[in-house]
Amino acid sequence: MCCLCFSRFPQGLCGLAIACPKLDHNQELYVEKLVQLVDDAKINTLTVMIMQVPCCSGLLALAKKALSQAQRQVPVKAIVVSLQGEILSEEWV
Amino acid sequence: MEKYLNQGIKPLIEQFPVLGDILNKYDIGCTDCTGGSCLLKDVVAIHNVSPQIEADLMYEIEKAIYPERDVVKRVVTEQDLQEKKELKYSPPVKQLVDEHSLILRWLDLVEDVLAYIQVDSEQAWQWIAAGADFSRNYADKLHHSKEEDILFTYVDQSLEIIQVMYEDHDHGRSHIKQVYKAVENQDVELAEKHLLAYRALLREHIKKENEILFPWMDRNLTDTQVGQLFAQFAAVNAELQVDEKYRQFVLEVEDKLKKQVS
Repeated sequence: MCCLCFSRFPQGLCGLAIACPKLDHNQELYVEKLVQLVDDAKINTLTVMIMQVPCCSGLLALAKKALSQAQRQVPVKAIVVSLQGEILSEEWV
Repeated sequence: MEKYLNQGIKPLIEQFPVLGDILNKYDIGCTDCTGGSCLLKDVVAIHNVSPQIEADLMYEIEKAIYPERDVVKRVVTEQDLQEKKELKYSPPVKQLVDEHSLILRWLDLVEDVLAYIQVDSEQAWQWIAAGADFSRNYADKLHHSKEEDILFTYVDQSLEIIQVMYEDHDHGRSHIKQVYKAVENQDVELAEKHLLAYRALLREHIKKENEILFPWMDRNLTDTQVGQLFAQFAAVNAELQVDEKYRQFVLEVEDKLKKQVS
């Protein structure tokens, strides 16, 4: 399962959204929600945590699409987790 | 060893003079440094040396402090090497590195612009004046202000490396002041002296920031701080709105000088 974390508060508290880019329907709704999070909720950063399987990278593409539509820009970090739960990579994109 | 890692480098070199020689061997010039307030652990971390050099350096330092100990050198793993392979910056720090690239592009043109005085004096002085404006309003007002007013506030500003950055910025400002004077009096010698000194200063300064300071700062920034920095930089960019103007200036000089050569 992939997820998106967004931090909004200086104390480092963060919100969490979970989505599957392969099996969930109406992904445009996710894009709209992300645009709202960036523009209206004014999130500070967006972290996309995905598994190493190829279909999960769709969630990162979805986040990038949302940012291209948003008025504001925020730093995006991608974390890739192995099937065993180890962090394979963690980098700003 | 822990207690020495948390001590200032200058008193440590006084206590163990051989440490100065070891650091010099690895091109870490603490012995020439005027302050020396950096902690030993910061000296090693800030210089962003390769994992193998870090292991060798720490081994030699520990051996010098504890000659009687059977010190074991840390084994560098494949993972260590992968992690250090490429410098990757967080988005706000990357923005500063990109600004450095534009500044370096102008610095690369300086010598040709000065030589152009012999070809078309009026055009060359226009470029020198525009270059001084670029240095003052882009390199300094936009870029150095982001560093001084925002980025450096995220670390201990009394650190030696930060103080050195402030000094470099001040020296740069005084060179540009002289370049303005040279433009006013069409003084070729004065322009050449200060433009070339400014170029040497900033090339070295940018190298220190790109390769040592920024990677070290990035390693210590939390994700929340990265987000805050990004937003603060965006506010400065929106307020000054100078990026495109100066990008065009550098591109124009590059194009015209290139055409001149061909």
